[in-house]
Amino acid sequence: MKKAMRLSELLEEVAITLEDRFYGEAFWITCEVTDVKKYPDKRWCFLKFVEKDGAQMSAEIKGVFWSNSFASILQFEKQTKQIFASGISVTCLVRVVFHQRFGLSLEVVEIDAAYTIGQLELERQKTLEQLLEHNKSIELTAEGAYITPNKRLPLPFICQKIALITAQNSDGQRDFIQVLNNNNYGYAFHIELFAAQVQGDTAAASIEKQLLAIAKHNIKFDVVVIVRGGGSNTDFKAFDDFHLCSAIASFETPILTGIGHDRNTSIADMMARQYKTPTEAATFILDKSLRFDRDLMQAKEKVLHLAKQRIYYTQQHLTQLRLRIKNLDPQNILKKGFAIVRKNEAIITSISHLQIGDTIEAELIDGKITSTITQKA
Amino acid sequence: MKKSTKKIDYTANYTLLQEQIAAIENENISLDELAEKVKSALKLVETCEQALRTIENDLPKA
Repeated sequence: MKKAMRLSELLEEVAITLEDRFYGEAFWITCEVTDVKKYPDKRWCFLKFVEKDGAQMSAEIKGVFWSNSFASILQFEKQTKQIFASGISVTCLVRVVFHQRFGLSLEVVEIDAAYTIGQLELERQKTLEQLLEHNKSIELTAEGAYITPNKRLPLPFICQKIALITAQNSDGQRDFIQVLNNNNYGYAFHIELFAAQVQGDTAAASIEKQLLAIAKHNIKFDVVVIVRGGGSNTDFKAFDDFHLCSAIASFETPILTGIGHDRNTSIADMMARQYKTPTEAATFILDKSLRFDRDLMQAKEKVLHLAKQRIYYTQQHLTQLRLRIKNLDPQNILKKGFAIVRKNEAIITSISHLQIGDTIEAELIDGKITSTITQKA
Repeated sequence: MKKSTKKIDYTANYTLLQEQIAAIENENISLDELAEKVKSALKLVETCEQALRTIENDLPKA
């Protein structure tokens, strides 16, 4: 019979060996995190650290944040404006620990937010380059602005039929609707909600799906508004997603964004018309109605003024015509002492038509007299 | 007598007025014809003024 040791004895040996090698040491590692499970009430977080070689997983190990390092997750999220979740690349300071029951794992001491910020920026740049490469109709101006087919679409004079993409019952939805529906001018807006997830791994696909639903909807919306905001949510990765941003750039109804963040503009913002918050997006729409109304009033006043001016000048013209006609009225000529001379009812304009002895009739302003020609000079 | 509510056509009346004026200003017109034309031209001026007042009254108030 072979001499065997107990499992615990072997694992104790492993533990001692590892402790000899790694005790008191911490290492900075760079890798991706997956299977992130947070327990905020206990201030624990379990995850996996992985390294990929293309599509292949080349290294993988369990990781853990205990309560003494859990605060670094919150700090990381605050600095990167990015939720600590599966799929992100991080640089962490870790210790190697071995437990006879739970095996080998890495205990996180702290996270280097600067690395992730840099990585996110690199990813953003890559996405922007891809967008330019795949969508020839997107232009990058010398000033660094992106001109997309969606941005080129003219906005209607008034935006009354609005497709709103946001999370149902979110602060963003409430803020947006409140500005428009509680306006002091009595304007009515038709706002149709297309509920979508606006954070997390499935957010980009969820928003894209709703864009498709809007495109197929029987209402032709004046504008699409994508909003999120309020609260302490910091995950904006969805708004840098290539497919979503590509869909926004080429969407055939003008899109406004009110994504409500204070970090760099998201790529979705760059592909559409950007407003900082849901409230700002709604205020823009309201102001547009107000401007249209004011322009209409001004146009009405202008038309009335022009019409009145035209009537005034026409009246003046008619007065002049009346004067002109009256000046040609034979009655007015007679009033000045002239007479109309007739012979046999025909008007005589020259003495050559008269002979001595002819009877003529002279019409004056107040009557007619009959005379006989006795002399011609 | 019930007042006619038929809208007066300013343009048609003004065109007629212009024709009358042209006739009045024609040197070959007889004096008798002139008197008639003057009368009808002045009537047309009045009709045009009436049409103008109707247009003004029909304008929406600012």
